[in-house]
Amino acid sequence: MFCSVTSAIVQGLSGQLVSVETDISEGLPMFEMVGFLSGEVKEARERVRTALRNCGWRLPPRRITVSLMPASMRKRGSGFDLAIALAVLGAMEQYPVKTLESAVVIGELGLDGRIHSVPGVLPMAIEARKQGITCCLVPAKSAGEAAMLHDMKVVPVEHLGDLVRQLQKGALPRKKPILWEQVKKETEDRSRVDFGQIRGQTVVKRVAEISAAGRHNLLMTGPPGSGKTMVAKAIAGILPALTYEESLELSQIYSVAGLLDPEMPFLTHRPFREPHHSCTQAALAGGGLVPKPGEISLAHGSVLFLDELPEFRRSVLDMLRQPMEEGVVHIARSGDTYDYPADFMLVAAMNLCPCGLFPQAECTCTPAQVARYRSRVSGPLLDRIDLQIQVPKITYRQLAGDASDQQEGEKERETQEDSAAIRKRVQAATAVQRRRYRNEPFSANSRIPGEKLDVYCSLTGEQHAWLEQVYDRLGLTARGYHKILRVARTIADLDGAELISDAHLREALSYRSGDR
Amino acid sequence: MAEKRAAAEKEDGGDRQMKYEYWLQSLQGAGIGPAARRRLRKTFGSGREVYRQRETTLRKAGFLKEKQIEAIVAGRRTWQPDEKWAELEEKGICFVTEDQPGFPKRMQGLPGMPDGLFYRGSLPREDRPSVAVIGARKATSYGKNAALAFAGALAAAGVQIISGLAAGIDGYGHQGALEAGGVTFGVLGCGADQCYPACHIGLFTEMQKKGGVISEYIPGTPPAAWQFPVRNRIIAALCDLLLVVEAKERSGSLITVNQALEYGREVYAVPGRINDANSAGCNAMIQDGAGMAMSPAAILEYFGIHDSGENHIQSNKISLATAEKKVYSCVGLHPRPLDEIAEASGLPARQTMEILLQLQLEGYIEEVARQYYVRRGL
Repeated sequence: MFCSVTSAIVQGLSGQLVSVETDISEGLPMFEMVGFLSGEVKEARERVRTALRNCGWRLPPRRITVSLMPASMRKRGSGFDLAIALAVLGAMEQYPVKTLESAVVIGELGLDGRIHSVPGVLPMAIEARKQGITCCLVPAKSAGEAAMLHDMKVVPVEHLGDLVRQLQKGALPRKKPILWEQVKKETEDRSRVDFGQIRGQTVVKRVAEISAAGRHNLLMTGPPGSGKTMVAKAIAGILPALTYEESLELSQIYSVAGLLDPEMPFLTHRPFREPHHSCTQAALAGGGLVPKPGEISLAHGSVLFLDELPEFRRSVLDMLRQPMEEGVVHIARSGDTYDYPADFMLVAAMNLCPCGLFPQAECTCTPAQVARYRSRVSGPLLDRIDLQIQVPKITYRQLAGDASDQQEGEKERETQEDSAAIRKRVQAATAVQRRRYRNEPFSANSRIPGEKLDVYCSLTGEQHAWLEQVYDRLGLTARGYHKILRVARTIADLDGAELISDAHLREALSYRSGDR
Repeated sequence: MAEKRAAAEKEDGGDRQMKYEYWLQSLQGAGIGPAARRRLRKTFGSGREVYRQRETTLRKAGFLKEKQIEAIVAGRRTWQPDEKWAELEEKGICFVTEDQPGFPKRMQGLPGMPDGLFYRGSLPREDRPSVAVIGARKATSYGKNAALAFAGALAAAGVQIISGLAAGIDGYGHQGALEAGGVTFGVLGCGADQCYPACHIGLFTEMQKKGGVISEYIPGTPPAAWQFPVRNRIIAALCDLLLVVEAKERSGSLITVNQALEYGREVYAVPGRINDANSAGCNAMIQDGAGMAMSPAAILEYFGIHDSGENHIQSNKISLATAEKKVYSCVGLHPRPLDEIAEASGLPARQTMEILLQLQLEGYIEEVARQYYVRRGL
């Protein structure tokens, strides 16, 4: 008897359908599996055999052949277990085979017949939908991921025995589709820092706003303990709200990385990634024997925060350059290239010297030490950072707030904006940019290529003359000049201005980075 | 006979002589120090004569140890005077011994001076006053500004600026002199063909055109820590007046100051704040009787150069708008962060920042690190 069940595999970020065929025929008793299988897939034989027995079935003493197609593709992972078991049972005629004709089956089997989740359910479900499949059987723990797709019948499965009984009855339970918008509204982002909680620091907040509005990479310098991490976290909170499409893309990355929470199996808010500086190349950019997305992909569309930038290994930092340029990271393995989206916003923090006090007189570092410390961050990386800001130490007054100075505190509280208000402005500026660049391959001011700057950041003759003066006086470089134009464009967008004004240019100049 | 030979040697020119002097100098590392060289020259007349002497004659002289004789013999065998001299000339390095007219008169007769100098460019002129500008390698903005201002004003008035080409104050002293179009000399702790620290290569090449780099070490000698305090005595000897710009309580500059006092040079120090560790050495010197360098004019006066008023360090009395003035008055000689300036001036941070940028573009202040500002000049 022959039976075929459809399953799926993840390659990079995209799913691919695999059909699992089983044939039971006359011959010496054996259980054979073919189809370019890696070790963990071959082991499925033992899991399936034992699980079937523990659920009350005995394999017939005949020749059982399982083949996974297409045979030219290397198959990895333990997600085929359930499909193999169902194909074998189908070939044994334990349930009407027709019920699984238009379904994709994903899941790992325990020896007791319980079904465990595997990473990457979401991209597999998306691929199945693309191929016209309307039903998917997934481990109950991962069911939420697939339930994001409204036109897919998602069947959560927990135990092989129960599942086959349901198949025999022809009644598969369906998980309710998740209304993403609604869930998003209900889930409040509790992990975020709100700018309303950060006192004073008006300049820092302003730069954060500009950086979020134009997706400019930002470098914060300043003494330890001045709240750089807090600011970085708050920046993730003022980025434009996540849309359903964006969430789907991000959730796929997290699904493949196996980082989705069964309770909340998709992302409703932009993530904030903060890898430690001992991070390796593979952890940051993605990789591993079985490639997985790295931190830069997990920060796709959001903030990648690198604290203590010079402490990162130089080779690790330099690897950021290509993804920062292209918004994608390519990972090559023999036979395969994996592309993970990595359009992140880099927010970095560093001290200016080993003791952290430079350039104040209290700094105890020698000039050579200071130079060496800073040279750990390569020039090409700094070239890709548009904004630089000094985060000053928080004064006692800012800490104690109105307790020490009633009136001052009163005044400050009035001007204290919360993240929601800032996000509104950021969102408006983002919309302006999207409209302006609708015919371009980029969508943010920070991504305007050098040759397009004349078109989108045009200046008047007077402004050119003024900037020329400044160029010499402040010793700018060509790159630095471009950065100023891009930042000025964002400031103008925040202002709702069509043209870049003198004030915009001046402000952009104050936040310039890289020349020291 | 001897007269004839002397005459022939004269015709050959100094080069013929000097290549043997250079050879003698090269024995420094082999145990023939300045004292031995002086005695050799005195006994035999010149380096060339020493080169010609038989081993037995050298032994007969009586003052050489067996090891030293061996060194001379070995040195003669391996050293090709013509080749080596051509190499030296190719590098553009000149060599002068103490008994030649070109040797700095300021160094003659002082104890512990080297018997020969290598230099590129020129040596300080005898008819012009020279001032050594020295101080800490780790200079603050205050020290930097003071060194630039003093060296600049003095060099513009025709004073030769001498220093050690080290990082920090030394470098700013040279830089100030060069920027003012003046003349400056660097005394090195390594061979005159080497630039240490490497980041001063710009100064190193520039000052060879406008002055010179000087070293007592054979070209090719790499920098070594002990050579730097040793060369300080040459700095002290070559100057008429020593100006210490910034020095901590225990600083290498104190070695130079002691040498200078020993050689009878005038010592001046730039005063600092009483609680500033980076100026503690200077303040202590002033307390001990060093001259207080309040302005370049005071030093020029010492040389009898009457300054036309230009050389005063002017406190920037500039016509600024009230808001700008307010902000400018809050920027000091030490770096201060933006938020402090904003708080002190009482203006909103963003407005303060705009004014600071404006002041920066007008050249009144400088941004030493991101959003840290300091006044330019004094």
